[in-house]
Amino acid sequence: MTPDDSNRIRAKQRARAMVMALLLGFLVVLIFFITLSKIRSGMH
Amino acid sequence: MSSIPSSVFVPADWRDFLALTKPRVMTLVVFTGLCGMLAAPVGVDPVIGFTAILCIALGAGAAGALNQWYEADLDALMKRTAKRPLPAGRMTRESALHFGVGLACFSVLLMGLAVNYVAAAILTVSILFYVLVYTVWLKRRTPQNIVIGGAAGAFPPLIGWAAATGEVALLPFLLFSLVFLWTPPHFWALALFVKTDYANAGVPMLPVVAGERVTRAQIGLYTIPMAIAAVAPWPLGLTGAIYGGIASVGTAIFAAYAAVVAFRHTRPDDAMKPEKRLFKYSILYLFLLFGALVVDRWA
Repeated sequence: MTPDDSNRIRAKQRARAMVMALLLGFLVVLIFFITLSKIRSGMH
Repeated sequence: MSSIPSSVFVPADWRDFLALTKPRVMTLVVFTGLCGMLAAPVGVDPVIGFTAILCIALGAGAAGALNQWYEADLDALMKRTAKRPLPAGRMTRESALHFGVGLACFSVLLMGLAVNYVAAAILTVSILFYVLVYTVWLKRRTPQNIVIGGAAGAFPPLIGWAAATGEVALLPFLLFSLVFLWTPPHFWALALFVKTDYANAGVPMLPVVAGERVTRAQIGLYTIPMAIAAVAPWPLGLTGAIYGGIASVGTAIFAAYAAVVAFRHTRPDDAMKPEKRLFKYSILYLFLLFGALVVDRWA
């Protein structure tokens, strides 16, 4: 495996890790807002 | 082409995982699910509504991924699908399986916990139906594959409605019937102009097994109950005149295009324009009807 190949694999791994981080961040925010909605509907 | 030796593990690109979910198919699924939700007689909390649509999209994506996992060998034989991540060798089958199962479980769990269990149950049935009944059982065995399998794509309006109301009613069942009966003419129009692809892959699509004449007749026949299901909500008093008018005109155009396809014969070097026109219009038709349903409900 050449250094170029190694760099390409690393770039792919970095991109996947970034997308995964964004998705997990989105999920945290979504669950926060779902919780707020559930609390609000429980109060009515 | 990659110069990386085959023994080196190359992780799949995130775009390949996205492609695995069949985003274009998902568009129609999300749209019909959203319309089913918006057509319901009760309002839904925007966050819960968004979550429900997200779960429908993720469930459809999971079903698409599992379909591609199971059909990698078939996809490799067809020009239309040969560039997908699995047949093109950009992803291992194991990755696709884990991704599909994980996404399916996540979508159902989230739907159950955040929305309601009725919607989660229907979502589970729709995923299992698409993967087990259509992909594994029917697709390679019978030319009726897309007739029965069409039910899988008909669930989203039912799920959307159930997400809003927690139950199912006559209107979402009619919407289910509409998509179910729309699927055969839609897919057989496609199958008529990509017949060679299906034949090469050994998929028993109706034009391959029974011939063009039978397929054309079946397109015409299925259009009749589809038209009834499309217009029925209006005389039954479940929708207003906006939906009734748009559904009547849209269905009349669909029936006219279908009739042209049903009564013609393929000539040598035929460009299959009427079949392509029916296929394209059938997609627009479904968007039009579901859009009209929402406008009718909110106008």
